[in-house]
Amino acid sequence: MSLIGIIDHKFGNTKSVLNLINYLNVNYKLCKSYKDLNDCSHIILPGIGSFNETMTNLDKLHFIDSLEQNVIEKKKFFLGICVGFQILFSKGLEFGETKGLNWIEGICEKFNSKKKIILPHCGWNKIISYKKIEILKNISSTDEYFYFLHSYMIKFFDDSTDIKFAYTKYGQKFISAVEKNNIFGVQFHPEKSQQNGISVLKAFCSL
Amino acid sequence: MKWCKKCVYPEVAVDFTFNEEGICSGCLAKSETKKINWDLEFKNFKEILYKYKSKNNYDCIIPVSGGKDSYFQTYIVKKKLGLNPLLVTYNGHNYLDIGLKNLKNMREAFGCDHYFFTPSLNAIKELNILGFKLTGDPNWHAHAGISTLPFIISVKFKIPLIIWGEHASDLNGKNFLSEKIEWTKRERDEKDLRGFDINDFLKKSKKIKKTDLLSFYYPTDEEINSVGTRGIFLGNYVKWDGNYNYQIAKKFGFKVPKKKFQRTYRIFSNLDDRYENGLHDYMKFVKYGYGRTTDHASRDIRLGKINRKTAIKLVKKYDSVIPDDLYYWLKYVGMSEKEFWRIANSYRDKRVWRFKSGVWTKDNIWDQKKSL
Amino acid sequence: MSLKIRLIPVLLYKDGFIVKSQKFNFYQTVGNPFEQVQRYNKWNLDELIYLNISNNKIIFSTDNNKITGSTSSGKKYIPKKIDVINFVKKLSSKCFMPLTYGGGINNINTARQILKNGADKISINSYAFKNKKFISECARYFGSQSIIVSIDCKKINKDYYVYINDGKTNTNVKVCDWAAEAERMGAGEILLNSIDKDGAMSGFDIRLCQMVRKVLKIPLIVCGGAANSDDFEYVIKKSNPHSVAAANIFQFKENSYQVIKKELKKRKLNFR
Repeated sequence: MSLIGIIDHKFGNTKSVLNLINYLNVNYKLCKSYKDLNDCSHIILPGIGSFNETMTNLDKLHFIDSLEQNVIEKKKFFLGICVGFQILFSKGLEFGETKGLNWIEGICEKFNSKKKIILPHCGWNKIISYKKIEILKNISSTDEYFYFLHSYMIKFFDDSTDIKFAYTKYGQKFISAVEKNNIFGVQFHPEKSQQNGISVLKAFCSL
Repeated sequence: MKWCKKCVYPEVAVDFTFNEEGICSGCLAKSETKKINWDLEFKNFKEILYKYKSKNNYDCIIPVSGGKDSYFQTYIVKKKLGLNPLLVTYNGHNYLDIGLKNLKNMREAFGCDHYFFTPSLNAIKELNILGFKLTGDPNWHAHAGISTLPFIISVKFKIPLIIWGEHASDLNGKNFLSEKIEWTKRERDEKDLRGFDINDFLKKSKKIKKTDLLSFYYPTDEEINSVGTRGIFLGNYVKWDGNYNYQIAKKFGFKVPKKKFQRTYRIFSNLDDRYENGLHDYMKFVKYGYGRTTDHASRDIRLGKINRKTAIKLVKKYDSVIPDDLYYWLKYVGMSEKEFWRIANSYRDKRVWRFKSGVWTKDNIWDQKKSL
Repeated sequence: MSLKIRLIPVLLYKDGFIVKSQKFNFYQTVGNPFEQVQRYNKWNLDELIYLNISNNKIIFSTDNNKITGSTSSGKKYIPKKIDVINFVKKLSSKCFMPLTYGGGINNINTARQILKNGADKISINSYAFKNKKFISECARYFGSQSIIVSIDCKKINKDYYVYINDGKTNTNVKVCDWAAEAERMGAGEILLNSIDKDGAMSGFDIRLCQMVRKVLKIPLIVCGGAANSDDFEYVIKKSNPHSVAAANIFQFKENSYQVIKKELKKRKLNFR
């Protein structure tokens, strides 16, 4: 019986994600303590604000070790949203350098302002090369748009044997979704992406 | 309590808003209609209808009750435009004999196919009681049936276009005619069905099951979209006047009862449902303090047929009359009069009614100082 | 630029109901404040703007949200004041698209609570005009992208002037001056409303939209006057706003949002 755990840390927009999970009628639990993760079969980490604040907060609340145990060792399904996706990587460059979870190699940095774009990247944009990612399989080619809201991103690089990427263009190519074994991450906000978002979260909860 | 300065609607009237000068949205909407080019609008109507013309199927559906407006709608579509409509009637068991005669005569006079549907009497009686208990309106089932059945037929028979008569906003000015408002499910759900759906009623009843109420389940969005079902209002394209519709209907054999109505001065309205001018309307009075006469009189003021002074006199005479069909209904559903009043009084709107010395009282329009 | 233009319905909440508006001075009831939000989820909206234009910004709710005030049975219509936070919570619980809430926001705490309880952005108007620092305060705490400054204006002779207090008070400030200053103070987007065009269904005020677009670097949402797809197409081609919005026209026909969106995409305009 699956139990979806949603990490409730200070800098998450937990409420919005919670509303959608509630709508999907699945078993879920709001995880305020790191111990709560142990009962869950799936873990969702929502995130807004900064890489730096999110990591500091997760560390303070002892979530990091618990995540290592549950996701890396026990291989439970994990979904990071927005900043929750960014911290999957090695480090972030907002407000100096901050270490991420380092589950995937990569750096989180600001969009290249020389490309004459308005920041933050806010609005509906298209995901490309996404069909290989399990939770995005059901997205239809007639509507490949999701809602984005961020100023920092992970620069695009190629797939490897165990890591799959989808990308999006905003002045430059950046990674909008990733799958590495049991770990998933999306730069966009599925809880704000209407039917597509519902489809992604539904697919994650069904894993 | 304040009333419209032009007609006789009170501030609390359902779906009305008033402007800063104290004129109601209904009167404002009516004055807007002066700008409308009716010849052009009728041309637009014709164009829409011809788009839906079919070789092997009906061209459209007309939901009818057999009343004067039904005659008029059928006359326009069949006689004037030469199209082939399917007439659809929901029979809520409330027909007066003369109403049924008019309905039969209508389909014969115009030579149309007619789908006449009657849900089971047991189910209807139960819905009468539940409608009264849950919404204060024993005729809830009729609003639900009329706003669901044509859509079920549209989907089943694959006839996309449904031609309604006048939109409620003709009375309350919720929309201006220029908006060409069309059928929306929201209006049905929130207004016609008072925010309830059939499942709420099922939950409260031990006597009926889902399979007793199949004609009350609105088709799914997918079904509606696959057929392209669309409801338009004839009232947006022709200058609507109940008196004129009556004249047309009379030509085709429409008859009025010899006995006058108790709660209104008009003789040709609402023959398809014995409670429309009776108990159903009386409950409106119990809730909001105004009734059918206020509706008819306001309409006639706007049409220039009576003045406000006369209208007020009519309202004073008719609005508060307790109709005889109340007793007919109590016998029909098996409810005591004591129980009826207990439930009815719980629906009195606090903005309108005061309970003083054992009597329910309210402000009255005829007590107001002269304003216009 | 692959960022799509947004087509945004505006829901106007007044004294218990959603309403349509004519020149900011005459209102017609549409219906239940919550039902519409739920239905919008099926319609794949780009975004939703929900504005409280009630007198004194008080919010009323009925006991049973199934029955609206206007179509309710008398006994259920007991106007009960509820606080804006609970209202936003309720609104957003079924809202899976970006939601902007505005109407009478005049302090940081209320703004914070509204953003925490389900809104993605807030819209500020009269208070922001009277206290410009409020804009920068909000931007600092919540990020510019969460702050929309809403500007209502009327045409007087050949110029456009900013009106506040639900379109009642003329500030005598020209609209371009205020729009530029709001951007300087930290606004993330500007929502531009033409009072003259409100409910008129005669198209947008193109000159107004062009003028304001020229002075801004931040995104502009234009509102007021749309009657059909032609109007949206025209204002997009002539003034290049980032988003187009409308309040009244989405209330007239079944599925109107999807029908209009489909038409706009057919005309090769940059919508999702």
